[in-house]
Amino acid sequence: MLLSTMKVEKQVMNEQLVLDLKNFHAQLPVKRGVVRAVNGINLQIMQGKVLGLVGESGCGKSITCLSLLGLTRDNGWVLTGEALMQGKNLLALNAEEIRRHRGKDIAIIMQNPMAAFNPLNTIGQHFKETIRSHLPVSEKESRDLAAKYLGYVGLPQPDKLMRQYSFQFSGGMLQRVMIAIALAMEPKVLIADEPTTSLDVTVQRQILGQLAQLKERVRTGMLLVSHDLGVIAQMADEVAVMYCGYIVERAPVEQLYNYPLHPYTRALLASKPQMQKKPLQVIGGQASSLLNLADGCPFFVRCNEKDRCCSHYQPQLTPYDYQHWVGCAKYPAEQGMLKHGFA
Amino acid sequence: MGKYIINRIISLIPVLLGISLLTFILIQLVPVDPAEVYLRLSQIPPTDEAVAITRAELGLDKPLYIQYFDWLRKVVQLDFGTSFVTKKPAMEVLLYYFPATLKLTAVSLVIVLLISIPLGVFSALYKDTVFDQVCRLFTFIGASMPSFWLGFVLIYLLSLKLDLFPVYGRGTLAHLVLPALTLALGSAAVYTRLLRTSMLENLKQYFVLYARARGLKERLIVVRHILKNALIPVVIAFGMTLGHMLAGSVIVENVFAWPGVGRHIVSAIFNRDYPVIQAYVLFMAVIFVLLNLMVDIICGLLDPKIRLGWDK
Amino acid sequence: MKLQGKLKGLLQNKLTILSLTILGLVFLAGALAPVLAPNDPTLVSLESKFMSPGAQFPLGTDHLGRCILSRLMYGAMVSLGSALIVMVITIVISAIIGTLSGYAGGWVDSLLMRTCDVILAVPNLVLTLVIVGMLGPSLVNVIIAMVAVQWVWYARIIRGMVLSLKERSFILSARVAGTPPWLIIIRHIFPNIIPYIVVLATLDLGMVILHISGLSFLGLGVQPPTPEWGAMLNDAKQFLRSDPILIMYPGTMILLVVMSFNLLGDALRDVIEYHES
Repeated sequence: MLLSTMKVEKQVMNEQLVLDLKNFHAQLPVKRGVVRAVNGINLQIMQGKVLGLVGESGCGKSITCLSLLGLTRDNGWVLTGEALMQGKNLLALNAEEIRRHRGKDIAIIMQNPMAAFNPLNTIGQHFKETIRSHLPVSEKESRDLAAKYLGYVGLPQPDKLMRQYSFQFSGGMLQRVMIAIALAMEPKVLIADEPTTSLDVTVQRQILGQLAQLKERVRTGMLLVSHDLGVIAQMADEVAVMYCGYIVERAPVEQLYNYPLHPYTRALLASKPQMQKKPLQVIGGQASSLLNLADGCPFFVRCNEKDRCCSHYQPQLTPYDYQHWVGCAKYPAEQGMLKHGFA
Repeated sequence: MGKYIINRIISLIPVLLGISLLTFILIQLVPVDPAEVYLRLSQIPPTDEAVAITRAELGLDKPLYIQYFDWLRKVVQLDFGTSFVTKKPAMEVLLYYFPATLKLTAVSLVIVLLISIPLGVFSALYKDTVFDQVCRLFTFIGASMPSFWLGFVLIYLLSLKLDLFPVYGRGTLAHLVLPALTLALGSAAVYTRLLRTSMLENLKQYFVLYARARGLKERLIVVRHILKNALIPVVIAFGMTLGHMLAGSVIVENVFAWPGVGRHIVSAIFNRDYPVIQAYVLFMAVIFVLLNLMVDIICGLLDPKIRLGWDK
Repeated sequence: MKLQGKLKGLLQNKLTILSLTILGLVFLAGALAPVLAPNDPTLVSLESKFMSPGAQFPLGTDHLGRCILSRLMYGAMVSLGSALIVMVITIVISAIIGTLSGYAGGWVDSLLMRTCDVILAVPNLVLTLVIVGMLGPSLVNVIIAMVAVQWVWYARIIRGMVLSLKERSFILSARVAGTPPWLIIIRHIFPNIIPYIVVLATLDLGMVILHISGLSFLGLGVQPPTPEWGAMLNDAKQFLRSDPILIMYPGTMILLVVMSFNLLGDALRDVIEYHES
């Protein structure tokens, strides 16, 4: 009985899968070797669901986002693996093909709204040029569409706003404009790369609320990238924890917060300020440099739970529990499954 | 915008007054008595008596500040004194020669734009390619080239050897090509370099990345999000360059015997025709100031931050 | 100072070495001209005019039969020497005015800076030309005119530096300790700004040489028969048709020297900008 429900659910999932990132690697050859930013990650983004991607800065999150949009290819990055969207591999498309997709099928909200708009062009120009790059509409139609979406994100007087410039707005307002621009094309995937990092805490809440609301409206699948566990907890359905270009753990959000398995995830959660006045835990040491990163467990040097077998461990995400994967030598494959009688 | 322009114009008044003072001081630098020069150029023996009469005539016997205000009053009425040599009003002399200089500068300016905009844009977009290397070599040599030598090299190669253009004279466009090219090359080099740097700066902007992320066509990004912004420092430098080109025409006009203000001013210097020299510096300074005003206005049109008064 | 380390690093750059070598050779040729030059640069001999290169005249002779090589060598001294003089005087004057303006502030600052605004409102070359015109054509007057125009740029930069230095903690503490201003300026401010100003001046030396030789070409600078590259070009221009080689020698020299200075300046600019960031 259990097996059959799993099968059904898997079928439903397949129908809803909007982006399937398989064995994705991103490497940058430089003078002194190779920067191994992303090392074989797998991510699935479901329609209407939010996948949280969490990790410290410089762990390969942003490179993953930009690569999905085809924005790393001109800078010498070598990308392997597949990013399937409706059967098309985004990584294999040529420059013009990927351009047609980005902003339309796969949109992004960037982390620094204050710097994202050209100060010489009006907000309206930014919005309209995006629409007209993807849809065969007239100037007026694009303006109406823009006004409609600016209204959705709760910005008053859209027509006046569109005649104004970015420097006349606050970061929060600009972030809303970005959300409106991103969602106006009703993208299949929305990437939000640290969408609230540069904003005031009070504004963060509002923005996240609106983002969640609008995501429902257009039924887009979302990849939410953040180093802020609070934001992830509030928004995400499923969370992937990234460390040095590896996904070290993946689980539904509550599962991850309640039963973190990987030592890094645990350390990460322990370093988050809580209401109880427990002393904050600090993760000792520094993340390994991505330049010429050695094989083996990336967290090995900083891990306080390591033992002998860890030094030979090749990190691989294996299922531990229902929908809960972890890449750590402490959890041999299927162990948890056996324990819970799934097999 | 209107308020911005008015503010700019008002701020010019002290500068213009300063320029008038500077111009007046310059004539005091003359190591000989202008009255004597005047007499000599008029073929009158400079006896003490004649000098005294001339001094009174030219107002040179009055205290300096009175001389200044007398002079300023005349200048405001566009009376810049009389040329010692031709006995015509100094401004009339300059205006007679000015159209030739203006024509030369205007054609040079077109050449500068035709060279520097494509070179600057494409060398930035194709950074570190062979094309970029060649451009950089060009800007480097161009900026170091003495225009008075370049002129002769061009005459020798293109006129004497290849017989493509006439050497001296004026009238047709062909006469203009060599002098204009000579005058243009240095500025073209400076501009190419400026535009290239400015383009490269802009390529790195966050909003360019966002424009790409929104799936805009590359050409639209280059024109609307890179070139448009990159042009602002170029426009700002423009007033200055144009002024330098007007001034630099002095040398080019002397190389090509081009009958403009620049060639005349050198002979005025040799003739110690002080009123003309004085009128020249005032004339050029005013043109320069007005050019910069024009540039400020253009910047205001281009940059909404300036136009809307957000630039604080 | 860290800047010095960076300057040493410069010496590893091939183009910098090339330009330094060229400048060094030209400078030596100029300085040692009285010893090395094969002939008297001003000796006119009408029998030997327009001679091709030969044993007695390695680069031939000009329209008055003067040795071109000797004239080029003596000319190097005039060109480089006058440019250096212009720069040294300019730096001294602008250091005094800039420091005074920045340190004193108030009406002194306003007066000096408004003066700068006015001078900057006239194109460089026009003002130089007119000052020479008023004083009369001669090399000394060209130098005076160049200094009179150039100091403004440096004075502004120095003023800016002094203004920012003035608020730095080590100067504030010296002020609080009651050190007299002149001592602060000599002991704390000058050592911090002089290296930058020297670099800035090197950046502009090529331009100064271009201006001086340009004015000499117009007949407003060095007067005949003194050998100077711009003046040599002026002499040679009438023989463009018959003896084009005569314009090549001085022109190439100017281009070479100006290019070397610009190359050096670019490298130095990179060092300074890198150092500042």
